Amino acid sequence: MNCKTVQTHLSAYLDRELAGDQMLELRAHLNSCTDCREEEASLRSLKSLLGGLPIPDPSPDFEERLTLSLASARSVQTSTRNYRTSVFLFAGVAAGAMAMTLSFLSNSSGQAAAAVARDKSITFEAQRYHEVYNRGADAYGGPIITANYDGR
Amino acid sequence: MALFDDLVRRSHKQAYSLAYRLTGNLSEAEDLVQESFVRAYRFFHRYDDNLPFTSWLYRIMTNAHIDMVRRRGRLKTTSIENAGTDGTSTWELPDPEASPDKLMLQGALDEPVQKALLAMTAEFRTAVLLADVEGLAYEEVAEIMKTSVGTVRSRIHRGRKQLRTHLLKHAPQTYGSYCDEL
Repeated sequence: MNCKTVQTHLSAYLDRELAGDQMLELRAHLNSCTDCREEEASLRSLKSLLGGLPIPDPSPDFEERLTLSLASARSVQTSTRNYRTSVFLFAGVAAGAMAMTLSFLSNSSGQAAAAVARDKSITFEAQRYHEVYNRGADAYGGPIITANYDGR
Repeated sequence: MALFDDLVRRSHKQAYSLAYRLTGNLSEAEDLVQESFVRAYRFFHRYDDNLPFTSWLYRIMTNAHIDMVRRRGRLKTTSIENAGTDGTSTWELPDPEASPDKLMLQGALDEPVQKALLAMTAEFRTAVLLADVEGLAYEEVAEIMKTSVGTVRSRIHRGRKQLRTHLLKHAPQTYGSYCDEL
């Protein structure tokens, strides 16, 4: 490893984020290179400084305000959910009612159509018999054989 | 939602600490924490409990922070100067083993460090804070920032070098004394 490569990897070395063989190689270089050792010491100081920074406490009523803002978010979410549920419920009921209405209408018109068809059929049969007897044919188109009861 | 409430109770102070370092401002930090928890609440059904809750929350927080930065166009740094002296905040010192001189120097460097952090891009700042302040591994940082470990490694290294350059320029004596103290 040359100095440039070592210095690129120094942060990862300090954080123990290098593979074992790289760690050993880098450590060997540090033992023999004053410049890189100084750079390593400098970055180590900075890391220590950041890790030891004082942590401020939030203001005393912060937890209470946080709880309130979460309660508010919860209530918004609940009312949104209720609204959605109501919309879905309404849509479901409306769709059901529409389906029932259509089904009823469809049944009614079917029955009416069947009645009309039946009427037409009867009318047709009556007309057919009427025409057949007028033409001198039977109901199936054959000639009407007038029987001669005395065999002639 | 008792589970969520419990997670909020246990993690809000830690979340506030990261938010404060990200924003450098007490009231913006509180806004950021609130916004992050509200988003977390809305999407809690998507939370995979194989991931620590704080990691998931930090992912939400870093996104919310980037949104805030974009929305405002710039970051305000005013209240850091009043932090601890305006009666609205107290300071916790996380390293009771450290020498008094080192603690004093750390306190004195807090403001320059925060200014240096705010001078960096949000991506560099987030990577450095997650690694150095939160103590997360690169893989966890990559998971939170939705990027590769290689990118995280580069952001942390370049971020630290930028911080050092800033401190050597703006607080050379204090920073020099701190380094000598180690």
